[in-house]
This record gives sequence, C-alpha cells and structure tokens, in this order.
Amino acid sequence: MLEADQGLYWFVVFVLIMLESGLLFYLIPMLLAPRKRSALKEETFEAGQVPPGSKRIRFALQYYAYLLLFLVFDVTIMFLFLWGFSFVNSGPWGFIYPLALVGVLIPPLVFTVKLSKAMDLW
Amino acid sequence: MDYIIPLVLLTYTSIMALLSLESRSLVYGAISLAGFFIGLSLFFFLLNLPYLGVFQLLVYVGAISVLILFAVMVIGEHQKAGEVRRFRAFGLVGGLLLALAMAFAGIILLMSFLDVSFAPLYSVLVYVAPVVVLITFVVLFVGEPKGRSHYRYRAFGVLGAALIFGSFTGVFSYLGGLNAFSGEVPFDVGRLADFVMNNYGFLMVVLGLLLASAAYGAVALAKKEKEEEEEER
Amino acid sequence: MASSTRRDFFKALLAGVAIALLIGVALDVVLLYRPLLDVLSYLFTNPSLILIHPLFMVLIFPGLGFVGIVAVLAIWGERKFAAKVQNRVGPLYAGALPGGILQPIADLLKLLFKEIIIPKDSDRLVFVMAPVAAFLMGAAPVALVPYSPSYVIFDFPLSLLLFFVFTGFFPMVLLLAGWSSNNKFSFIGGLRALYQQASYEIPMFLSALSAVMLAKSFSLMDIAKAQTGVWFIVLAPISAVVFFTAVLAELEKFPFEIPEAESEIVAGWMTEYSGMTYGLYWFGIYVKLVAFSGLFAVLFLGGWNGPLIPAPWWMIIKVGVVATLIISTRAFFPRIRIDQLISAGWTKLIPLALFNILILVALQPWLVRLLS
Repeated sequence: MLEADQGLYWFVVFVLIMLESGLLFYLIPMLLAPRKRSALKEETFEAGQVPPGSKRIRFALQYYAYLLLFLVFDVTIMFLFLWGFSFVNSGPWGFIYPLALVGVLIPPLVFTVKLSKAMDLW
Repeated sequence: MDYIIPLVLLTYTSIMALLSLESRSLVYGAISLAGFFIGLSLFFFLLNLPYLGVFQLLVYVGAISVLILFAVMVIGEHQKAGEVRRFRAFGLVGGLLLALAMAFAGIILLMSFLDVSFAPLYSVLVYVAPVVVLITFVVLFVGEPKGRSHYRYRAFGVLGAALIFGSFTGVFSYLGGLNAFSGEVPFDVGRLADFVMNNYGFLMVVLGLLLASAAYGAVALAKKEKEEEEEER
Repeated sequence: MASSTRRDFFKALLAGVAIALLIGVALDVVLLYRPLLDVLSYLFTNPSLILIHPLFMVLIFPGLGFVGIVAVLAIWGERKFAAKVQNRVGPLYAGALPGGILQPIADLLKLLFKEIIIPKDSDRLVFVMAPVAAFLMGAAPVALVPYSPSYVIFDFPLSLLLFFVFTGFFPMVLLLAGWSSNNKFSFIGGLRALYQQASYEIPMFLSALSAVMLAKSFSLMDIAKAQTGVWFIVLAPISAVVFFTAVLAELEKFPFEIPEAESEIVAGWMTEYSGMTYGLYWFGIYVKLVAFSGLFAVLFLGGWNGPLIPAPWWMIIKVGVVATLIISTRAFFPRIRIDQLISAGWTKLIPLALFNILILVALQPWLVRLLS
C-alpha cells in the first residue's frame, strides 16, 4: 500500500519531516536555554478578578448553542456535498431532494440562531 | 506484509478505546476517544470507503470530540488541570491483555479474508485467543482492590465484548470476508451520489429535518429560564 | 516533592523528545534511502530530473523550503505593511539585508534560546504537546495543494475534504491549549477561538461546495484543471468572497482577531506560552496561511492556469497575492466583537453561500456547456 511512487508515501514523509522540525524546535531550547525556575515565573498570569461561582460556568457557555448548530450542520453537509454530483446524472430527483433538504433546514436554523442570539437567556 | 497494516491499526484502535475507558482524567479519556475515532476512520479508508472515512474524521473528531472535551473541561473546571492522576493500573494491564486477545482474533479474521493457508498457525491461534480472553477476565475480575469491588463486573463486559467480536469473526469468515469492499471497484463519488439520491432521497430529507429539530431542541433545553436568571441576581 | 517531580518531568520530556527525534531520523533513513540515491544519481546524469522528483517537492518546493520562506516573508510583510499604512517604519535594523527582512529570523533565534516555562498546576504533557500538534495541523494541508500538474505532494481523490479535516482538527487543539494552561483567561480565550473557528467552518465548506459543483470533483488537482478556460471566481463570486471571509476567521486575522486581542484578554489562549512554544504556534499559524492561500488560489483563482509563464510560477504569484491580501487586513480593519462575529457567520455568510449554490444549480445547463 505504501510504495515510493505513491502520493501517500510522500505525504507521510512530509508529515514526518514537519513533526521532526517541530520537535527539533523544542530540543534546542531544552538543551541550550537557561533553566532558572522560580515560583513567581510559574504563577498563572492574572489581571483582575473573575468572581467564583456559577457565573464563570455560564460565561464559558455563552455561545454553546453555536457549537450544537455546528455539529448538526457538519453532518448535514455530508449529504449536501453529494448535490454537486447528483443532479446531472440522477435526473430531477437528484436536484429536488437536496433542495428540499436545504429548505427543511432553514426554519430550524433561523429559530435556533434567534434563540442563541438572545443574550439574556445565556 | 499486506496484513501488518490492518493489524497495527487494530491494535492501535483497541488501545485507544481502552485508554479512553481506563483513564482517571476525563480529559485524557476524551482525547483517547478522539484517537479511537481517528483509528476507526483509518479502517474506513482501508475498506475503500474514503468518503465515509473523511466524514468520520470531520464529524466525530472535528465536532463530537470537541463537544465532549468542551463539556468535560467546563464541568470539571473547579479541578485544577495538573491535579488529576492518569490511569488505573489494573485496568490498564487487563486492557492490554484484551488488546492482545483482539489482535489474535484480528489475525484470524484477516487470514480468512486473504485466504492464506497458514493452517498450523491458524489452529494454534484459535486455541490461544480464548485462553488470552479468559486470562483477561480473571485479571480484571480478581485484580480490583477491595474497596472498589464493584469494578469487577467490568470483567463481564470484557467477556461480552470478546464474544461479540468472536461471533463477528465467525460470521465474516463464513460470508467470505470483506473482499467485496476492497479495491476491485474504485470509489466514485458520482455513483455514491446517485445511489443515495435515488434510493434514500426522501429519508435524507427526513433525517435533515430530524437533525435540525434536534439542534433546536437541545438549544431550547440548554438555555436559562427566566426564573434562573432571577436567582442569579 | 512538587519540584522534584517537575524536574523529573523536564528530564523525561527531554528524553522523550530526543528519542522521538531519533526514531524519526531512523524512519527517514528507512523511507528515503532509495529516493536519496536516485536524486544523487540524477545530480550526475540529468540534473533537471531532480526538479520533478518527489523528494525535491517535499523538501524544497512546495514543501519545507518554500513554506518556510513564504512564512518568513509573511511575518515580515505583515509588520512592514501595517507600519507603512500607519505612517511608521516597521522592522528595519535586523541584519544585513535591507528593509529588515531578516527580522523574523532574528525573532526565531531569540525564541530558540528562551527558557521554557511551564505554568504551575498545568497539565504538562498537553501544554507542551499542543504547539506541536497545532504546527502539524497547519503544515499537513500544504502537501495537498497542487502547484502545477506535476507539482503536488499528495494527490488524493478527496483532497479538498482531507484539507477540511485538518482545518477541523485545529479548534480541538486550541481548546486543549487554552485548558491546559490552567489559567481562566487562557481557557476563555481558547473557548472563544473554538466558537469562532467552528462557526466559520460551515460557510467555508458551503462556499467550497460551489467550486466542487463547477468542477465535479473533490480533488484539488481536478478543480485546478477545470479552470483552464475561466476562473471560478468569475462564475461564483459570492462564494469566493464568503470563502475568503471564512479563511480570515480561521486564521484569526483581522477583523476576526478576538482570540488574540491584546487589549481584551491578554493574549487569549496563548497567554501562558513563552519561548519556543509560542514560536511554534505562530509559525504554525503562518504555515496555515500559506496552505489556505494555496487553497483559495486553487479553488477560485484558477490554480496554475495563466498565459505565457510556466505553471508553477503563476501559482506562486497567486499565492503571494492572496497571502498579501490576507495579511494586509491588519492595517485596514478594526476588530469585531465576538458575538457580532459569530452571529455574522451564521446569519449572513451561510445564506450568501447557499444563494450562490442555488444560482449555480439553476444555471447548470449553461455551465456544463461552458466548462466542457
């Protein structure tokens, strides 16, 4: 499966070389850079106080709805990508079904985006 | 040489699945799960289904693993990242044994596809694999410390998984292996598109409606209600 | 107790990196033994054959060497261009070459010798490995972009989708980077980067679908070959604009620079990273810039097609133009707020991309005649 004249072979070689150069960029500082550790250097960088409690979790979840939408559309485009190939060969149905798919997706998309945008609910 | 790659892939996938079950840190479990999905998609590529493999990567690793990681990180937020310890020892040993057993079963599976007549090796492996599974079962069942004896029942899960895997092996060898999927007909997106649209077009539209409505439902469930907002003030 | 385990971690990490590098070099020798001999033999018999040998493609053009040079030029160009527009001078003094072109090299050398600081209570393994993963996810797509009918490292029938796979991995890496720093600001910055990149992936896929529809193939090579007559930006201009905007969001360039905004949450998900970990992230982002410029040129600007000059040079010119356009946005645009950014992606870009797809579907009979 992996012969020298195939693209996959050279892709693996390319990724390997990139990985090696990344690791080399790590090796040089690890060997040559000074290593004077102190407690202050390793403190987390803070500027101002984020109050503890549930507000912090809500703060992180602000745009969670968009991640859910992204998941759903990621699955849907798997079918939409077939649109480009189907309506030449498959006659009218190859054209109508994906169109119906898009049409069916638009109302939930509109309502969900409206719900996600209402900031006071998040 | 031809069967080394599927075998390595099988071992990698099994180990990733085990790591995702056995890790103490949820984040490492989620990362291992993403690695498992990658291994699964490589299987799809091997089976001459590149479209499915690519979308497995895009959807499972690119979206679902991200959501799982996100949920784990946000909910475990109070726990500092560096405080968790990594893997349960006994589970890992038992799991490695299980990976070995599944690798053996995989060799049997592959040899049945490739019509390789390694008769002596085959007969040895047919006896070795169940023994390895039994040893795994015993290790997992006995090996849990007293305080966590309820984990012993995982051993039965391992036994069940090995039985299911073994029966799949038997069914596939009986049906002549996966030769139908490998390489004779090159993959063509046009044919796939025709097939889906002509036979499953209406189902595809229904599926799209179901997915989008599920998204709306999930968002509607996740948002704050007015009363919660009053509480927060 | 804590400091001795940390010291052990560092030594373990050093050992791990060294062993990985040794295994990598061994694998290189095993895989490249015969091609290297071939290239050396070509050196003596027929040197021009080297130029189309895959090893040349991986190491020099369009692989490691070309990507490195374009990334360095892009880093310098961004700072110089923004400086000139803002009536400043920009990088000037670094090294012998005029105009401060060596400034990024000087920065690289500086970062190479800086101390690696791992924050207290962070997840050390993920913290250290995330920049390498980000660099790989940015660099791998470069191998998929064809620079001429013979200059492509990996020609796969579904190469466009594989490109998007690597794009889809990037938000996960950012999320891990933000979380592993054990810093509230980093984590929130990582989440914001995740929301931004996830929201703009769908418009990117949909606008690329226009190009796929026109070329009837997922392979970047076929898409470039289909543009010998007319470029796709002429046939699907709205999709080209949507795609370009989505690429700006993926690269975190202005006006979508919220995850790295200095005045907002320090440096976002990169806050705790210093030294070469920081450098690897930036290099990864600029390599991703090269990959996406190549993708835009192949999808909409006709790939290597053009009169008079041989094919690879046209592609280099187009990649340069697109990369310049992308980095020039720093000088021209203000930063958009994150909620405006995300809702714009969903409410404005997706309908535009769908609109263009519908136009193409409606015009299909004429397009088939045009493109055959």
